[in-house]
Amino acid sequence: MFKKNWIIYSLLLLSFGFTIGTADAAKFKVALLTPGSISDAGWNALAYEGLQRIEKELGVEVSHVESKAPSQWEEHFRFYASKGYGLVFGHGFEYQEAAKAVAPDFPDTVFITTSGNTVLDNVASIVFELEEVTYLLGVIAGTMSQTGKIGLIGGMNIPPINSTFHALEEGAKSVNPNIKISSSYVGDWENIGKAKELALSQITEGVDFIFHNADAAGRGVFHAVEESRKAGKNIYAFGSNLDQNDIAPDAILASAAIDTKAFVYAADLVQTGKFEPQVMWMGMSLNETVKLVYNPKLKDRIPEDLLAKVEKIRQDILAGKFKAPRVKF
Amino acid sequence: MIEYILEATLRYATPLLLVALGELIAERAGVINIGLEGMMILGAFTGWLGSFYIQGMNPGLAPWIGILFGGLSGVILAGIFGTLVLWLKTDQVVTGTGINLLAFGLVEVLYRRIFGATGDALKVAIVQPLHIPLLSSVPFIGPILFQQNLLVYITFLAVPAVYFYLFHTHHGLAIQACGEHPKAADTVGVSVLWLQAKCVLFGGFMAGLAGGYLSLVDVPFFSTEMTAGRGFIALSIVIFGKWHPVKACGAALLFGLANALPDRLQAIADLGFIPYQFFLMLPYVLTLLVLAGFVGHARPPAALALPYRRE
Repeated sequence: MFKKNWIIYSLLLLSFGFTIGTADAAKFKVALLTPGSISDAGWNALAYEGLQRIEKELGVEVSHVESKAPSQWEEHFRFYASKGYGLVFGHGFEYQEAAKAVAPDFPDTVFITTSGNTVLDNVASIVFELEEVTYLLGVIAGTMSQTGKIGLIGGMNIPPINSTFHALEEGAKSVNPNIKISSSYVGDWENIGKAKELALSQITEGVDFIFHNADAAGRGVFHAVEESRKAGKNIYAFGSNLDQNDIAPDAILASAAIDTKAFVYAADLVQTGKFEPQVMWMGMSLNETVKLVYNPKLKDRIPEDLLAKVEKIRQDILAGKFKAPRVKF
Repeated sequence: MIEYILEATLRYATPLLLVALGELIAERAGVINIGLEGMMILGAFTGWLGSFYIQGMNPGLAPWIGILFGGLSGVILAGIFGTLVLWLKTDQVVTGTGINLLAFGLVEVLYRRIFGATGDALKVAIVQPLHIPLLSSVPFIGPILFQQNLLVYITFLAVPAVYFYLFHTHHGLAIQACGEHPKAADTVGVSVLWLQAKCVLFGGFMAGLAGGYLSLVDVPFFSTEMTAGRGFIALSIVIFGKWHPVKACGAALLFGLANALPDRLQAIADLGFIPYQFFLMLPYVLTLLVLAGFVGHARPPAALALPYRRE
């Protein structure tokens, strides 16, 4: 029995050795934990593309692991920190507690969570101000909606998602105070079929603009909107986190996109020793880290004066004259 | 509104029923297959991949060939499962779990290898709805029952077919005997292991088809976890339906309704004050209530999950 276990343990050790390789501990290395599969063409893909950019632009060694179960979060943080990684990203609001628990044991490693507000000596967070863009989307939808109903579809009702929804709602209400908002949640981030059904339900309810913030599941929303457009209904969707306009070019009017350079920026700060523990706000004014990307194929559906109005608000945000509403978290 | 909810109910119920019918046959033969979820995801992937590569040649036929690929990949995975549990006598539950892990790992690796790590959200040609002439224009019933996909019709026609096969044919009775008392079946000349193997393969085929339904009928996209637990729900539908095809059909429809109705309610802006978790919880609460209140005692086949050894 003992002998058998011994073989299994050594195999396990060996497999760990293979995945990590024999890395030089003195070199700066960056790791990434994502809450879901990076092939979602959305939130998780964004982080992985950011990591690849770090590798290319800063010439450092990078590593990635999917860290889905809460029980894995601390373990994965510890794993990378103990391997001498200088920076570990936890890609999501949910990683804050784990970062806080692990950080004191590894003073030489910086832990950055994307979204969140936990700050310690070596813990910081990046907050994408996607609300600035979803507010603009709200203005567009609120003005263009013929039914006066807008749909929102999220993976789960967690603060970062909720906040983008809130900003969109405020944007829509700024132009049409009577607008009705339907918000539905899938319950996870993967169930494309369920997201499609939720979108179809909203469409039968009379919704004619749908914004999703549901990662991979969001594709179901695009499909529902595409099918309904084919059936003659005048409905549009908005993309989130990445420029998703290409996924359904006949249905997506615009996307609220985050630029992957945010990750390079943060990694560069840590590598050059300029890192300060703080919440790093990344909005439009920071070199357009978040931006509104119109779908060139459908841009002409938006009236000229509305485009001008949106541009005006955008300039106001850039100039600091206007602050998009966000939910504190 | 009722019309819409019933349409959505059918869309939800179809993949569940497909898997459940296959699993029902396998369980009747005495083999429990926990690996359905894995067979579904592999079916969804190979089906989608097939349609992706064939659509250039014939976009109308591509999704159908894809769905067939999906079914066949389910058969291959079921073949591995069957060999392990029937001839090597491994534990069925543990092996099924292993099949799930294998399938999800394999799909993730292949998907990233072929389409790059972050995926492209590529679309493929999918199956178009088939409007049955005359019947589809009947008010109310027409849109619900006769404007669906061919696969939906096939699934619901499979219910009486499975019923007839299981209870009114020589083969069907032999299958039941394998699940209840394999030794007795053996003594009257039924080759137990081969018959069980065929049932397992059939179950794999149906799970693969259901996977194809997800990525080639429901939506044109693939994502590496798009099955989202449907394989496990199908397992419970088999129990819920007391290993009977007609009752399983009822269970699948009930589960479909329990999904479709809350979806529709979530969309109503004025109900926004109700926490969404309440809506998401409904299918499971309903299942529990029905199980506790109406279904009564469910008795599985006596030899379920027991490896058969000839002495």
